[in-house]
Amino acid sequence: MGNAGEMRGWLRADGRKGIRNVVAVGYLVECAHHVAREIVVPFRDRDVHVIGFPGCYPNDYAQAMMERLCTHPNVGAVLLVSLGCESFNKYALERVVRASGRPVKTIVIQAAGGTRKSIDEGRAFVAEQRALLDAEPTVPMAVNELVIGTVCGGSDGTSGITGNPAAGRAFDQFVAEGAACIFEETGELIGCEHIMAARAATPALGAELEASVAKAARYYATLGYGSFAAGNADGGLTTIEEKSMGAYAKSGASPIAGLIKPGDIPPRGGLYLLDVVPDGEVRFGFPNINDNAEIAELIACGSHAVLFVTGRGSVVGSAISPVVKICANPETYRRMADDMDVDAGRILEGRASLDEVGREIHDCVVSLGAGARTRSEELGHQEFILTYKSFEPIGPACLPAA
Amino acid sequence: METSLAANSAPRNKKYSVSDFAAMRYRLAGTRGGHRPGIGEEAVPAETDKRLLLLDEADNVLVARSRIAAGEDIAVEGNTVRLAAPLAIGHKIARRPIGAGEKIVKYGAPIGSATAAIAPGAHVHVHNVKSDYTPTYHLVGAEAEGR
Repeated sequence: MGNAGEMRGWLRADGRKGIRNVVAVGYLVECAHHVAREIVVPFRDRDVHVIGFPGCYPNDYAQAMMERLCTHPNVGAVLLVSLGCESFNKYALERVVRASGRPVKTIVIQAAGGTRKSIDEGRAFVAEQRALLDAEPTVPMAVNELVIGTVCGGSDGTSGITGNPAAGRAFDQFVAEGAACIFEETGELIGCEHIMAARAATPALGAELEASVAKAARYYATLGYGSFAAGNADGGLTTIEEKSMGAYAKSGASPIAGLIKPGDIPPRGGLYLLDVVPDGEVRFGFPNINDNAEIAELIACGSHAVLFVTGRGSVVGSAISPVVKICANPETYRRMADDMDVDAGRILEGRASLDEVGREIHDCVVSLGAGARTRSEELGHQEFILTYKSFEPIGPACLPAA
Repeated sequence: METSLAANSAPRNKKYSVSDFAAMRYRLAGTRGGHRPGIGEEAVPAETDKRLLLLDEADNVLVARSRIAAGEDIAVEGNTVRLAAPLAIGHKIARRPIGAGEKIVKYGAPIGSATAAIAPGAHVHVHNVKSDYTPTYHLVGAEAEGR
């Protein structure tokens, strides 16, 4: 696989570099989703990805998420698709994207004359942008310019023993090299809050980390379910505490440099916790209704790539950033090898050590900046979901070194 | 159907607050980033089937590192135990007798409480363990009930 010297990226006006040069097609209400989906049909396998927000009511979180995603370093141009009557502030979003130096166009279906005319207009814009982006030069990119997220999904009793700690070793290596690494899902850190707080850069940050998990515990208690799916139990996980201990291993052993919320971009290298549970009273339902909601949030924080550890066997990828699939369970790997980038289950069978698989994960991410593509990218996976949430800005204790 | 789909017996008004667990995390607290969970650091218990993993010396459960068939006689720290049902990869069995109400300890940390006495070698799962935080939703047994 690649090494750091081979990584190349597309340089953006804000100084960040992308390892992909995607045209993002964003629908601004579900009523415009079909048109957006139709626009990208001729561009399959050409890095044209659909993202969007289904709601018609305005939401500051969704607005901020769309802004961050449309100005993500992996995005080179943006097409927005509006029905016309929805409440999403398309004017503000277009201004933000234009200010970032990216080409942007908004199609309003009601003004364009309906479905067919909007699709034709959209495809013309995408074809033009695709040709321009394909001709853009790349520049050398270093590991310390990377932001990497990690998530686990379809977890089982092997996840916390092989895949998650191996991802943690990769994180340790990236942090040592100056990259920014983000772990998340405070609802799956329930029971680990005090161990985690002991790793915080400052005691005040430690208190913030503990508070974020306490908030998650309250939130899920109100909803009546933990962040725990039926398949987790089939795979041998018995309680949310057990799942949490396994999930926590993804964070590795580096000191925790900060706590961020969806859309906050890590100010420098180091390890960050992403607090994905909304602030305030319980509103809008479950914090993240599935794994892809978390992946979208990690990407909105600037993640160039996302490590996804699975035991039961998830197949998802994502719009905007590649998802590296790490399979924790050797039986699952043998059944679903086509979907997996890394076979961490061989640790369980004594065929590799945690450190070896950790290095393999690290090198796999670096290779993505040298032209390699993940299995989910090759298979065309571009899942995306964004729902309603509300957050307060992070407090001053959350980024002690800022 | 309803009962099998329902969460296990842990009450909604949980008995433990988040902070109550501080004292229980004695194995891990104070390691300050030094804790590196996973295979390679586990003690392998003497006279125990090599398909079973001990993740931390404080644990009262062992984890299956590969599938073990029903009816097999397996060694658990010197005792021979006949498996009543197949043990799937990643599932747990009791390392020693566990009393009702006792904490289940894995990774050196409590992961819930036993709802019944558990014999050495017996499967430790949703039928005899409850979360101390939120009840576990599962469909274990639901498929058979629907037939």
